[in-house]
Amino acid sequence: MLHGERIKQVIVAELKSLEQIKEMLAGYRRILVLGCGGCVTVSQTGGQKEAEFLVRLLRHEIQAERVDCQVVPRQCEWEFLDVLETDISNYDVILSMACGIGVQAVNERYPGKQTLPALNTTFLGMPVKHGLFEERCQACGDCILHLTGGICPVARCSKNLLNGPCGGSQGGKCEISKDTVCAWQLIYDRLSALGQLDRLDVIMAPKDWSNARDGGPRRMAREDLFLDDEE
Amino acid sequence: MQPEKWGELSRQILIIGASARGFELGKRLSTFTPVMHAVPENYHSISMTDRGSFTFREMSYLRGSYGRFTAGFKTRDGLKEVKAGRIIVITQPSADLNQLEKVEGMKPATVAIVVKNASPINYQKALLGCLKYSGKHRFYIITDDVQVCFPGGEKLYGQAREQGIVFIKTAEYKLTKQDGKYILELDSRDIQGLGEVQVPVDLVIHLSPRPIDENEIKMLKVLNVRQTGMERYPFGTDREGIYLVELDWLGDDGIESLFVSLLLQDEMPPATTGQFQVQYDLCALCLTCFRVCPHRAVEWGYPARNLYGQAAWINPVACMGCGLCASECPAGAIKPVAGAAVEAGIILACKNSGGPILEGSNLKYRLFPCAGNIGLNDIMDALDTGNGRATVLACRDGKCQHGCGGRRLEAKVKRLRHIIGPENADIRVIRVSAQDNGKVAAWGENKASDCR
Repeated sequence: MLHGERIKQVIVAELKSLEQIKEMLAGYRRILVLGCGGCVTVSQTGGQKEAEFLVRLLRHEIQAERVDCQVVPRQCEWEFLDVLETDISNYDVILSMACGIGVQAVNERYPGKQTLPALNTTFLGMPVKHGLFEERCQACGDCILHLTGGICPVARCSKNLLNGPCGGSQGGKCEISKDTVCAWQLIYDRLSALGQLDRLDVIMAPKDWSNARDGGPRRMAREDLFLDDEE
Repeated sequence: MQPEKWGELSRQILIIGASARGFELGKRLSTFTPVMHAVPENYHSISMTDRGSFTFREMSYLRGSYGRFTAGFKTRDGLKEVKAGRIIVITQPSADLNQLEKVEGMKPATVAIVVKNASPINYQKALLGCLKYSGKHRFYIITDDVQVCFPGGEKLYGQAREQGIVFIKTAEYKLTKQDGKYILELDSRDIQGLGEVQVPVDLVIHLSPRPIDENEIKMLKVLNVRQTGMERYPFGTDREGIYLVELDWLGDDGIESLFVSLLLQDEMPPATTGQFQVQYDLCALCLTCFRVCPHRAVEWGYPARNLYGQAAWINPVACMGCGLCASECPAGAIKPVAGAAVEAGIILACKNSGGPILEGSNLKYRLFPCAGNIGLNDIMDALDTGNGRATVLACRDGKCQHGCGGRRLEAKVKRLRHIIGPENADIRVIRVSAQDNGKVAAWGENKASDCR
């Protein structure tokens, strides 16, 4: 999983609006806010501190019998969710502060309770500076970073162009906004520095998107890792 | 969880800079601890007979914190790494502070002192000097910014104002001489309703620093030193274990006082228990603390190991106790070592600026080591206690001893307002100075009474 890697590429998420959260929670009296110690802690949206904050916020904003907080190391591992077993009967609903993976895992692990998302999972990225997260990967399933000077056109070009740049590249910026750097400008600069500009002469063939979302939900099986008692 | 023994930390003192006085200082210090000299290459006239010295072109990096520094230098033979416990940097002299003594024998006069781009040391010296002679002379301090971030700074500033010393804050001024008298012309937009002002004065003293050379500016950046004149005056900086000594100060007295303070520290490390600690098993190694620490007291990978194989570690002897790390740690892994019982408060205040104002009042308040230590959750608690109202007191910009605590706090309040809606967050952030003492009424008597 992403979480265990030392590379600082994390799932980035942001808090839903308070209105949305209040609407989701309407009718529930006993609420458990469940934080996650993985990516969303690092991206400052769903860790211990933010979970405690949301609890205070909800106690302040809604009439509930109880709003409590608990944080597990990662919501995307069954074992870490087991610890909730004893307390879960005390709550009507779980408000998960994990990414979409965590929310689904908790729903699956505790089907008798509804688990709601407190965050919008936004992208896979990294903090380019403290507090500023940028998208770096779209998990397309067919990495071409070796061809593009280590800069991903799939995630970082607004049009996901494989043979860029397009006419919208002006002064190194993308036409969609002055804050968006043209990925193909970056690729050109980097290839130029590496002495590999000739790579740009080769037209890249259309990408096989079947490894990405176009091929439906993906799964990866590592049979060597399967345990004996599993099918 | 503390470094097991003080002896584990490096005892070597690294002296960066070239001057005969620097070597003199090194000789004195070497009587109790190993000393290494790093001499900029362009100062080749210095005799390099000392075995404990090397020349360098440029300082490239500094890692670690007090007792555990690793400095990298570009030298003629490539990169050289030096381990050191403490670092003394000899800088070019700034203002000639002895000029103030000029007024001693003078008849009562009006003196203008110009202090621009000055370090807190210069301010301290200027204020002390003016106070010494304020009974006899009339002083105007013309300055671009009043600096008070040195121990006792606020108090000294208050005393100076009580003694009738006039502070004029302006970046622009013109000086003309007429009949042996100076006319100081100020176009001061800072002085309300005054606009252009003319002040006749008898003597003008400049305490502004001479230009520092580019290499020095670069080196200060590498050292990550932002403020000088803090703690262990006059040589300490906002990073424990790094001392900036202006060449002017390195007379016999200067060497002796530095020798004594460094020797005492060697015997008795400044703080053997840090003020904040990481609970390693909770650390997500997100590096927030490492990045936000204004004093660069955080390292990682030493000595604890957690889920990620390493964890953040606050060097207890480098920590200056502002608690910015604790308020921003997303994993809630950083806690004060001495966990005092938290009392509910409706006013949250930085103890440096708000503390003296609130002291002795019957308001319900909670003090923090720095406004940067006030977290979102503390503000939420205050809103709870105050039925939807809270007041936060923070230092004015540029006055925070820990860099920018007030600004970080305002950013948090902004986020809170954004989340719960401005109409639901009656949070007042007031930038104060300890000198605003007795002015609680100024921010609304009725508000103040709500806080009781």
